[in-house]
Amino acid sequence: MPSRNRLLKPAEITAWIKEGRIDYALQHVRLGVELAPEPAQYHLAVKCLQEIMAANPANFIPYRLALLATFTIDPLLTYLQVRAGLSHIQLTTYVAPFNQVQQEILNPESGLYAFSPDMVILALGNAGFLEELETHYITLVDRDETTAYLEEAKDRVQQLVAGLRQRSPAHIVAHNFVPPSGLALGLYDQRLTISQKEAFDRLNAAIAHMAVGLQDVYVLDCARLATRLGYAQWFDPRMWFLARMPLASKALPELAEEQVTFMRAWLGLNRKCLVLDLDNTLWGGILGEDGLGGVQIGHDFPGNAFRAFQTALLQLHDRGVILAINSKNNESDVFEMLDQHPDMVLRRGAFAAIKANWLDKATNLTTLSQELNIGLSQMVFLDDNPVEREFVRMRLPQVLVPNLPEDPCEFPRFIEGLQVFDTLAWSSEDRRRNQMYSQESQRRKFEAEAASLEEFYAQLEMEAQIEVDAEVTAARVAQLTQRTNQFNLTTRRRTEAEIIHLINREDAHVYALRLKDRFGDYGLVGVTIIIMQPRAWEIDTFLLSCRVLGRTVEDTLLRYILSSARQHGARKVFGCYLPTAKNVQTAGFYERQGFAAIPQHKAEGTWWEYSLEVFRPAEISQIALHVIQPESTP
Amino acid sequence: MNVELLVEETMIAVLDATDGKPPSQWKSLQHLGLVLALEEVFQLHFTAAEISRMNSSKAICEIIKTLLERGP
Repeated sequence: MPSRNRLLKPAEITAWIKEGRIDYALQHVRLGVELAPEPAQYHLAVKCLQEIMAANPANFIPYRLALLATFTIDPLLTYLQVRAGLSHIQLTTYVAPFNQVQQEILNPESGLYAFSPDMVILALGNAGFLEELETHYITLVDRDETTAYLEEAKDRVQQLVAGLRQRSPAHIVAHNFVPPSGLALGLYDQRLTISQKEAFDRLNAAIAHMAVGLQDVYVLDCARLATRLGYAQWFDPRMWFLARMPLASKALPELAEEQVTFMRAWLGLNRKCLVLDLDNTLWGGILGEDGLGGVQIGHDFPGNAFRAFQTALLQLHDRGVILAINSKNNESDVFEMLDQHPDMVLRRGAFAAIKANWLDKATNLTTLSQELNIGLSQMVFLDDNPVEREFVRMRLPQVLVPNLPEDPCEFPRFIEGLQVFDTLAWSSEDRRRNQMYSQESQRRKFEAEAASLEEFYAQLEMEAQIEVDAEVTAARVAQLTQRTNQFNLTTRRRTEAEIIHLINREDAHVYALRLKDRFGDYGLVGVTIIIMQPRAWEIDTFLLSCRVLGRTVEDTLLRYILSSARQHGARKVFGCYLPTAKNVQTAGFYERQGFAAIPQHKAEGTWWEYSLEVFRPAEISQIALHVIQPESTP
Repeated sequence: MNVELLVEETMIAVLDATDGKPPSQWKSLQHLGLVLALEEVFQLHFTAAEISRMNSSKAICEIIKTLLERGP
């Protein structure tokens, strides 16, 4: 039997770190734990990640996570550290004392609040919290008390969550409840007015509805996770009876990944674009050799597996993940296949950009990144060929290159389990994202053909619309604060509820900018949040989606803010730049706009001021501006 | 197969056992982590009784050898 510890090679990781190949080292730690998601691998991975983080701390976002559980949850920490580290998150953790959930929440002096977490995981197990529902269900049925019990159980969860929310601004992720594998009345369960299975479903649904109504509260669907894994892989009775630790070893990495998915979504670390190889990835066989009629895609095996994979990809497309192609093929053959093969699910229009040529795949990915204006660190590349995968990992380690399973039957499940695209909001912009990125690709080609930048701007026929304090924009505004990393002066993440609160504050304004041009509608792409002080405005947030950078939109938005500030009687406008690993390009923004530096104004970031006494509204001829004030906002 | 070597390797990975502490000083949760790791490394399934008897490196190796000899 080979030693499985050998899959992850710490000495190699150390060597890559010394060569400065941090992202490449990180990719191999990921591969090590994904090839063998086993405890020993994860423990080795923790050490490798500690070394990587020490070598390049700026590449990792510090994050404080507290865990409150009614069971022993400590063994999860190793897996959390690894899954978070692989997503560029450096975790500091606090585990509340065993089964002290209520005490920790209710006591303002508790270790939980002293820790000041960014996120709290509330893991309530069935034992100790839902005893009757799990182990005495027949008693509940006999007394006809199921409905009342469910209501009371939901209230108990709500009280804990509300207590936590009252005392901490942290994001809260509450586990829902996993039904037992054996039902109290066996086959007869389904004949009950409220079956035991249905009781768990009802409670979980009630908790989900409760979370929707609370600020920054989310539910981790353990019931679904346990179903996916199988109950035997979820619950380990030995660990439960020995140490009150119910989670089986197979469940630990899966649960940790689910929890980290929330962190990634909140921190804006989710990926946006999925780039696909074609031959033996999107269909079976080689298009150039087998021809349109010879490749495997259709309703029989193995074509049906590829069709199912394409259907799963279409779902990603419909929810806003950008799809692109990177394939060594003749472009005309690929277009013919996408346009004419009767069994293709994904047609040419599903892809925001297509690179079908004989260039190497790293070069094509770089071109795609530029054409679509998406960072490499927001891309995922899928290819059946391990040589191509490793080549891309070496050349472009920022691109996530997971190992595609060898069997195409596993492709749909694989893509469904790849949680790197998950977000906490879903807007109309998401639904139209592929179309918008396709338009972006056309714009780039148009730009390359223009004689000058000025001519390009003029011919784009840009029209901007600024909506002031419009609640209808809150979801998208919140999403932009959560996702925008590059052109974001302060990177302050906000929820929809926080945005609505700001909109309704008398001393604040939320400006949301939409843009369209001759190629299409970008949607809502810019946000400025203003906090008004006596005779001065402070720019709390100034961000633009990377899709509209380099179009002078930022100039238009800022000139409008300055103009509004002056109209409202302000004499100065203050702006702050808070540096992150990703917003370096905005470091000189205020200086370029004529702001003067204020040395040592506040502890954090660099501060700038603009004296409105010298402000002269400039003509921005390239962009026609229309403003919707609150009174006229629908 | 060198059971002792694989156990030691796993212990180093899981427990950071290079500090030389005897098993009696392991934290109980580290012990559980080690047990789960050993199950994966040797492709074995320990009973709760066997886990509770794993109180030294020697005991661990003996239990593993017995299970390996017994076969699947």
